[in-house]
Amino acid sequence: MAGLEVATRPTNLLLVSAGCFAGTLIGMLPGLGPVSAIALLIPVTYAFDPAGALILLAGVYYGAVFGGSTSAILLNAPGVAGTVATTFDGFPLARSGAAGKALAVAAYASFSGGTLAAVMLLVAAPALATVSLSFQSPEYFALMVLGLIAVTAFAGEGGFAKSTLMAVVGLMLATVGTDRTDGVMRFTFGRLDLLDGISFLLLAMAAFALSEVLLAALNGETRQTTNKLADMGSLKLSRKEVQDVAPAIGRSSLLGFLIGVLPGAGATIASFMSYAFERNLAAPKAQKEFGKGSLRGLAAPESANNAASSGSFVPLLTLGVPGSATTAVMLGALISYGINPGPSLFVDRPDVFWGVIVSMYVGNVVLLILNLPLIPYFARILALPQTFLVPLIVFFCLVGVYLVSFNVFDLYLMIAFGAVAVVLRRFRYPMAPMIVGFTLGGLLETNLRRSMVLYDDSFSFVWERPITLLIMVLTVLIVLLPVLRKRWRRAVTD
Amino acid sequence: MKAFSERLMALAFVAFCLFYGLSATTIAVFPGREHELITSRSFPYGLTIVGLLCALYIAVKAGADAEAEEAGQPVRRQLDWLRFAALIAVSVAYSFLLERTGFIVSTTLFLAAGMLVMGERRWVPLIAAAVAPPLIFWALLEFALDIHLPSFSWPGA
Repeated sequence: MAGLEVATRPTNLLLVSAGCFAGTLIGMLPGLGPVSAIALLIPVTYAFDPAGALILLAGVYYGAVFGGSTSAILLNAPGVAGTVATTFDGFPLARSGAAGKALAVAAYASFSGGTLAAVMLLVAAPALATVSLSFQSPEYFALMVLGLIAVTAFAGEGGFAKSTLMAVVGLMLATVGTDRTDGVMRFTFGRLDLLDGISFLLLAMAAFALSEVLLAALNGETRQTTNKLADMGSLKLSRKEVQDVAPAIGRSSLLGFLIGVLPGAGATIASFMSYAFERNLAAPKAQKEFGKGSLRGLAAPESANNAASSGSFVPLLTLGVPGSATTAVMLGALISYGINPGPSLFVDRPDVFWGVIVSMYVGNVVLLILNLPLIPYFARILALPQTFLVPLIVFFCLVGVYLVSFNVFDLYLMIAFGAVAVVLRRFRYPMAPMIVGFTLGGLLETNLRRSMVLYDDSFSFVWERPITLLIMVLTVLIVLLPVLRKRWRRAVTD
Repeated sequence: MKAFSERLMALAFVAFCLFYGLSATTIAVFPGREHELITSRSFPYGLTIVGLLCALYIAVKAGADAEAEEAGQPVRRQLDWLRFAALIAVSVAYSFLLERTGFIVSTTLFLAAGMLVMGERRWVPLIAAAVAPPLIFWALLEFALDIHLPSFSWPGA
């Protein structure tokens, strides 16, 4: 009740609304994701009491996540790793003239994911925090392998071999830079620009947004090209669509929240895994629609992404352990307000603890009310002729990457990656496994090496630790399930 | 033809994996860890092997699949390689000019050139669309977010 009282104070309602609005605008800009949005607004929060400040930051967080989804759907430009899976079906939907519906589904899915997660947070936060502590390097390694295989196995385009190869290329690119364990340089070829490795944004923008517009130029799409994008379509969902999407949102929210609770796992793995999970669960006919504009394929990662964002607050508020880069910035903010997050937080400062949790729910409501009416205006971006849209998207990609590092070398690298991505896409090499491999590569290697050290250079941790074994069995099942399903169907028809 | 280019692509991956694997042999090993089983080179070596296996499999299998598919393929549309190359060249030029001529000048030039490359010939909308976005973007970052983009400075200033 204390939380409800804090969250519904007029000032705090105003703060969460302002946060959501500012977050959405900043999240839509290339290169500025939730981390940058929160970091930029921390100085503003010093004017408020700690609970109000955190409520404002939580609003910014949700707004930025939703803003990122908007650019992922409309421009195929995922600004952060958590929205890469959103592009798989969101962008094809926008291209086929259903941009309005895609944005509406994203808004509903984000709202539902965030709401369900806020309820779960309210009920199970302290208990889940204890469970998350039992996850050690071997479990994290297994979880990363599961996330990687889940996407590779269902990448669809080009077949399993091409997906695996692209995942390996992603892992290879992740090894560029300073080795996290030993601190030695790898594949930098003497260039200082590569010491920190290749930036995620650079690779994601090159693989998706930049290659998309370069492909448009290659295919000769000009002003005269019939542009379906100008048609926003209806925002309304049919009863059948709701029936199709609702269970997927429920399942993905639960999965997203549980993954989000684990420090380090976060929204990226959650969104990829829920996408793969839904695709595997779908009937063969619905499965073929994944990647071509499936509403279910869009709703799953969106709800999981949002639920994981809420889940990542569990270790932050209950243990003082930031589960992601964003919550790490928030931890810094908390400390600067004179609050020490940890097991005693909800005893010492119940107003902050419960106020933030309830404001998450309020934030989701505000986000929905704010964004639904704005969808037609967002979608108008797509009505621009290709002659204007293509150079503008290239500009957004280049400036987005420049804003992160302020290094021109990154721009050259991005253009080169974009050109290579065009060639690869023409040969039906999927980009998604490469991005997943790249995102998880560093953590995968670090956790593997730590696990090997713990078990005297042996792989025995795979079968000696029950949770690791369980996750590994799940991984094998994911690979085998389509084969088994095919055989089963053949046996039935015979 | 399709099978040939598929195989060529797979062989390009084989070459990439070999280059990656060979480069991995030059990674320095942390002093005192030379005799350990897992070093900074181990993961790259493992990736090289998996990558090579996948690429060779695609070269053999996907090439054969492409041959089988080829007969049923529709005629490919004409590709505009010139426009593709021009857009890349304009992007490279923008990257080169960004810190030399400042954000507003370089972005305006880039957008105008990009629109011309894409076939836009209506001058008034072209100029408006090339000038307005950089100014709005610059003002937003400069005044609202306090992020400073490169500005124009005279040579020698």
